[in-house]
Amino acid sequence: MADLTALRGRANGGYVAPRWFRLDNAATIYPAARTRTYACTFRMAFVMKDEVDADILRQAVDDIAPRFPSFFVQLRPGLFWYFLERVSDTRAVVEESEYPCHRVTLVETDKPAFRVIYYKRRLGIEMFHSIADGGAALLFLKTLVSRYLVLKGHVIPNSGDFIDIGEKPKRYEHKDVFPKLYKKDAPPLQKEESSYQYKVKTIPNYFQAVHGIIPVKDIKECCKPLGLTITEYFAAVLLYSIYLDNPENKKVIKLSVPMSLRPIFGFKTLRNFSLFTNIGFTPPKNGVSTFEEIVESIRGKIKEGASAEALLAPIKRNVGSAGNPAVRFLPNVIKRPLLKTAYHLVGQRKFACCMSNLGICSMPPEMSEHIDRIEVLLGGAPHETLACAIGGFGDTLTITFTGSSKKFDIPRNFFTFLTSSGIRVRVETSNKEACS
Amino acid sequence: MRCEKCKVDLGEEYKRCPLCASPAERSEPVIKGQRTAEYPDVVYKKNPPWYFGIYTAAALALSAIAVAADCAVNKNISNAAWVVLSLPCLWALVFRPIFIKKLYFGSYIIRDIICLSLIMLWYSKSRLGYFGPAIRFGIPLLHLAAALVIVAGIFAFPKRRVNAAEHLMVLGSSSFLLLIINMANGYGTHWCAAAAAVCFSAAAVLARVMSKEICDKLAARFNV
Ligand SMILES: [Zn+2]
Repeated sequence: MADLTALRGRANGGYVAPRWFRLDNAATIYPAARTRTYACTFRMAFVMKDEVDADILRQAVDDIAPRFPSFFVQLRPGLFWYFLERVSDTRAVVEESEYPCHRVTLVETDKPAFRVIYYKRRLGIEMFHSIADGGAALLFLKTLVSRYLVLKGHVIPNSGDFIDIGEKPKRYEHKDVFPKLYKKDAPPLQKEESSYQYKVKTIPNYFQAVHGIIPVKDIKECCKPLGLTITEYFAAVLLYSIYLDNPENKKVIKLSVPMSLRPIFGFKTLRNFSLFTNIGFTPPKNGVSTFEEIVESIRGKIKEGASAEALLAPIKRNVGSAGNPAVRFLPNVIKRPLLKTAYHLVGQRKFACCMSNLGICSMPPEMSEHIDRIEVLLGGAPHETLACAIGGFGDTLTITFTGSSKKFDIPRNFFTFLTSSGIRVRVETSNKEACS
Repeated sequence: MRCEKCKVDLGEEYKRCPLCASPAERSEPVIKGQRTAEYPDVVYKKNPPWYFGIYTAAALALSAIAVAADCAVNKNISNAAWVVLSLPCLWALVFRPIFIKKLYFGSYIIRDIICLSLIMLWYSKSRLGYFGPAIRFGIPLLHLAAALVIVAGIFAFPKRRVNAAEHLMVLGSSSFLLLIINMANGYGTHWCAAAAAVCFSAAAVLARVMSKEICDKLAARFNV
């Protein structure tokens, strides 16, 4: 294919991406946090209208690889830090055969630290979190799907919704922008109370997803009278669902809400560039909480946490501690277990569940006519037996609960609350036992 | 299909509601135009046995027995120390490569050398009375052999040349260190010199052919 050679040539001209990348500030924790049961991966997938053609998909991956040098990388150990080394092996396509968000092979392989999965109508990526965050991964996936559709013979115009693979990789796409935002005089981070933990029996090596498919129109109608954004509304429902699961609990219940910093600070990096804000409510000592009380306690909190000023404190802490000479020059073999212990003892206790909303995914109509919906799956964390991710496509939102237990308590509370509020819901799951 | 208890639509072929386990009812979905996105059948795999844990437990037990027996019979632990030392070496040399797949050849060789060097040092001191034979002869020969294997690997696996250069530099440096130790103790230095020469000259040839790649790799390994 002559045009591809031209594409590759152009993509590699000019700025030449380095052979290796430092882990960005947010990515340094994942190699250390990873355990045998916590894979640190997430999945993003489109459910297509037709079955996926594997050969064309492989070709599409090969075609977009030169445009995404920071994705086709593998984790390698350095003396002081891990780093990401570019790999030439682009054979990342596999037919889905494991539970969602299955471990990605790291370090001792020459394959990239992500996989492109397909199964019947599903086409997606499962990625080790050190490579990129959800926002960047979605851009990668959209570019992949657009190339796949072009190879299938469709004409897909680029309206700026995905990356032009004819262009060269840009320097700013590979930059770790956290250090740029470091301000010495930023306020210190407030000490946070640890959250109630939703405890349920987990099964090692098991992982399941429960999807709720919801029309956007229904949600908007519910949010309007309450004066909430969609994320706030879902956060309130999720907090209420966790509360209903154990009304005896009087400890604060907190959600961790990740947010992309790209729209806030205006950077276009394709590395990790998101942070978390924790929101929650404390059940009253006497009596029971109502949904309305929860709504009031979280109103405006996400917006507050997502302001540039509020974000400078965690950035100062993260960048500051990574830049501390005692941490920087500590050999990796010692640093890794220390980071792991700190993450599992402290970091994970601050919230009961993570809830990520990627928003509505935009793309040209020529592309969206081949796609049914989007699915976003969080890999979950060791202390977190449940994670929730929301992705929107067209007029449909998909809320996905993931976890390594076979229980459906929280999703049941969540979805039945939605249906009782007049929202239409369709439920699907990866747990075949539970529906047959 | 639908669950009338939870009031949710279900996949077309669902027999039960996953949320409440009630039987699914055949009725029109309220959300039109959606079809089930199927998942594959996955066979549940239990955690593989934690080989390292099992091995460590067995090794500790064996070590304890050896120490106790040696104390009882010989009133010292020099024989038991042999057993204690050989067990981790046995793991690194024999068991780990069997159980842990995808092990890189070069890293494996470096680990082997460390283990075998320890064994040689111990043997040299306990059986021959001083470290000299190991430092002068045994360990440098080991380095030389490993270097030759890595050099052969350069031709067999062109893709892994940068890693080979890294390993040669590590081996070269430790051969050089041995050379200095031997000189300081007045032992013969020709085997160390030979090993260092082979390592450094092979690394130099590689560095000439692919200096940018090797510099990049070293910069990555030492990034702070
Ligand atoms: Zn039901």
